[in-house]
Amino acid sequence: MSINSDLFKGTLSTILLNLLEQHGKMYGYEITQKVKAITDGGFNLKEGALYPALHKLEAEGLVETSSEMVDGRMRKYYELSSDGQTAALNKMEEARAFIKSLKLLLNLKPALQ
Amino acid sequence: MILNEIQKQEIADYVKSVTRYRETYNEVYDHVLSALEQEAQDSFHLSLAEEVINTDFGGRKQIFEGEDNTRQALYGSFSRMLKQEILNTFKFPAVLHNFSLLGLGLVFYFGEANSEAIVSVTIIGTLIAVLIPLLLFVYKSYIRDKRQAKPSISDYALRYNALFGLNTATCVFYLCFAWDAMIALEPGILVSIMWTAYFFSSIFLRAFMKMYNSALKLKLR
Repeated sequence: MSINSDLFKGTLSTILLNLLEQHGKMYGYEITQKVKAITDGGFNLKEGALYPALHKLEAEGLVETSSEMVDGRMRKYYELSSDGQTAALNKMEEARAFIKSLKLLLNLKPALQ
Repeated sequence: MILNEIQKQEIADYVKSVTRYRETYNEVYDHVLSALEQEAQDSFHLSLAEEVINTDFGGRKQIFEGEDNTRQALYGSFSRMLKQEILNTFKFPAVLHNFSLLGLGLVFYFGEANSEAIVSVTIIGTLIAVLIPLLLFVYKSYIRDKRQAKPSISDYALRYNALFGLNTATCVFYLCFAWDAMIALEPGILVSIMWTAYFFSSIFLRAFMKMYNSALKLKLR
């Protein structure tokens, strides 16, 4: 089932930081494919959401970039900076706390009715 | 799908038309080619590339918006780096350079030297110090990168940070040193102001060089 991408909006940077933390150096298209594979096609990074988020993380110094020539074209790779490593851990903690609260909230609803 | 050179060129030309900066061009071009090579089953038609750009990037308008945001974010990031490097010149061991400059300034101020000559020398020194960042920007953007088809997205941030010193020095010059200067000051005060301007332009130059080198390593590839 395809998931509404609006639900992911606030957590996109967390998703990206976590992916880079787990997989190391990645390029844009690779990230979209990895997200698709992990969520079994449920979540697609579409409509220009991925690159602005990556560029923001780069400008914030959380992600470092390097470029390599691959098949005659320039490919830009993203990887976590040392600040990014710390931010990834903090963001994951935040996300876990959020998911816990969300679970409680969603489980509470039927009980209240 | 395996793309031949003519098809790749056709895609490259299309991607050039929907991007303004070479970093975006490289990224979008690589993404479109990767998507077509790994996902497309049909025979090649340019509309497939257009489809990838519309679906994955939200089309030309969204790419331009993304470029604007990245440009602003880089400007903020470079400005923060420059400010940090300026502050770093007041930390050991960089602060020793500041002390030697201050010492030299005091020797000139309390010495017997002609104040007009000192002002002239420090004006030239200040101008050189604030012009070097601008010359570096011109070298990078118009000489080193002249063969590039598109400008770099970081040029904007680099240009405005390079201009900061020159703009400040010009203001000080017109306020105090031009023939029709807005503020008439005693020669002794002029020497102090000029030396202060030279002192800070030296700090600006050292900070800019460090920021430029870090930015070159991180962002300007």
